[in-house]
Amino acid sequence: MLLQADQIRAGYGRVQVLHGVSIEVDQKPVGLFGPNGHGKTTLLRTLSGLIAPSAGRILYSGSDISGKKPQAIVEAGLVHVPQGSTLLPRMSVLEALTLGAYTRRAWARRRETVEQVFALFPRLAERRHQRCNTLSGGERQMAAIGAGLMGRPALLMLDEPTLGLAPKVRLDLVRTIQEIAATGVGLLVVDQDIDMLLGLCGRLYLIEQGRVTLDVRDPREIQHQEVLRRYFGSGA
Amino acid sequence: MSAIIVSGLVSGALYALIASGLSLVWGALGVFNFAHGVLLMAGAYVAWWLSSPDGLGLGLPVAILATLVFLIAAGAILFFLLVRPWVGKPNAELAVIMTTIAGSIFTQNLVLEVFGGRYKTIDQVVSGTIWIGGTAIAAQNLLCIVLAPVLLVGMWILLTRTRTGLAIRAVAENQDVAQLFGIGVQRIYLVTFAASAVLAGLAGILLGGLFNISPDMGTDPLLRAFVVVVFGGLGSLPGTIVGAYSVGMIEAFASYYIGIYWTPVVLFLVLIAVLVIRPTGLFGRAS
Repeated sequence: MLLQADQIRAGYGRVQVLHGVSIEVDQKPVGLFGPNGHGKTTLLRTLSGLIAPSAGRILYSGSDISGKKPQAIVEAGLVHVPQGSTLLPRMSVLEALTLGAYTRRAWARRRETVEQVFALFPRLAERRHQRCNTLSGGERQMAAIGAGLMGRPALLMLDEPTLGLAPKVRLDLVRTIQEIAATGVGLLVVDQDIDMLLGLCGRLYLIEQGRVTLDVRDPREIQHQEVLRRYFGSGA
Repeated sequence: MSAIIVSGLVSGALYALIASGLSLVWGALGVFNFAHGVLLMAGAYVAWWLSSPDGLGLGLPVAILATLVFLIAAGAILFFLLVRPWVGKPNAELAVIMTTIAGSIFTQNLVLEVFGGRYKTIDQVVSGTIWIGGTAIAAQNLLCIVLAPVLLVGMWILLTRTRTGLAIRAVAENQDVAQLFGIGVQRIYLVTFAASAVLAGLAGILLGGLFNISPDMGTDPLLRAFVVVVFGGLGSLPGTIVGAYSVGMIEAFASYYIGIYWTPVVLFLVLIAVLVIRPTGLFGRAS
């Protein structure tokens, strides 16, 4: 098991957002979906160490990482690509990607990795000297995922990678995410696009009100309609 | 005329050194270090004490190297004592203004107690006069004019080419993203403070060769440095450098043509005019 989160409770100050979430990630990509503001992003922030869980245990590659600093977690190969992908607005694409390889493990191989990222996202190679804030929405997302890959992750966590993208751009990006999964990198993807998640993932979790309310172990057997019904309630 | 320009360039060079450190810290931590002027003063005093026959008498080259080591330590101590306990907490900006002002007052009085109130001078790093195109320039002034751009370009190379330098800029832009890249934010804060202290202290050593050194010698340059960073745009290094030379030139010309007492008035009028037209400063960005 790559990642095992067990009964995670976490939040911001006195506001608890996660009320005992348990998920598992293995080699196949795992998807998280659910309404906004119900704890998906908070879960990723807890897994990557930005927030310390108040209870529960996170096992990554067999060792307990709960309460560790982001630095140690990234160094271990668990990399979180945050939502919004604003990344580093006034730095160039190449600088941002280089920083993605900040860990000692990744830094030595950064030139080799950046070529792999450019092969995956040829657009980034063209834009390498442009500032991140001049990129289009799709390119920003590519840069954010590319920077995540620069850390040579064993498990990559993507927070709403297709948010706000035009259909064509979204399709291309999803294809590239599938390519990334095919290279053997573990994926934990938060997204609203359930069709995309159904196509990509081997397991889906529905997160509502800080809890896992549905665990879809085999997406092939679940009908889209059923997910929608669960997602939006029986009235939909 | 050329003498005025030389004087403007010297002030501009010193302001650029002082203000870029202030700007670096503001960018990375979002706080203003009011003890920055004291770091400048401390650099000058330590260099004086180590080099002067009235102190340890080690000679200037050794003294400057040892002072650089001292400044790195001073920046680190300042960060741990006066800044770190408040960073990331509510109202950190205000708390740090108070702690660093308190630290400044304490240090100034400590220096007064230890070294006494008599003005001192540091030996000039270089002495003599050099003629360039019919203008006589004191060698120390020329050193300031040449050294500051070299240091600033060096700093720019560090910030754009090295792992730690890139990390400093990342922390300044987006702390969450920086952390998710595996950057240890506290270590970057520390490095930023140390670098800023070195820049301030070097300016102090250069100033100490031009004017007397005294416990409050950092107060005026600090005020000018604030004007410079606001003028150039907060958090922008190119803006800070342009701002520094602009302020230096405005001061030089205004004190020659209008007089030294009206110079601050002219300076602040120009500052106000700039802020009316561009509220974020010359190179500033809307936050």
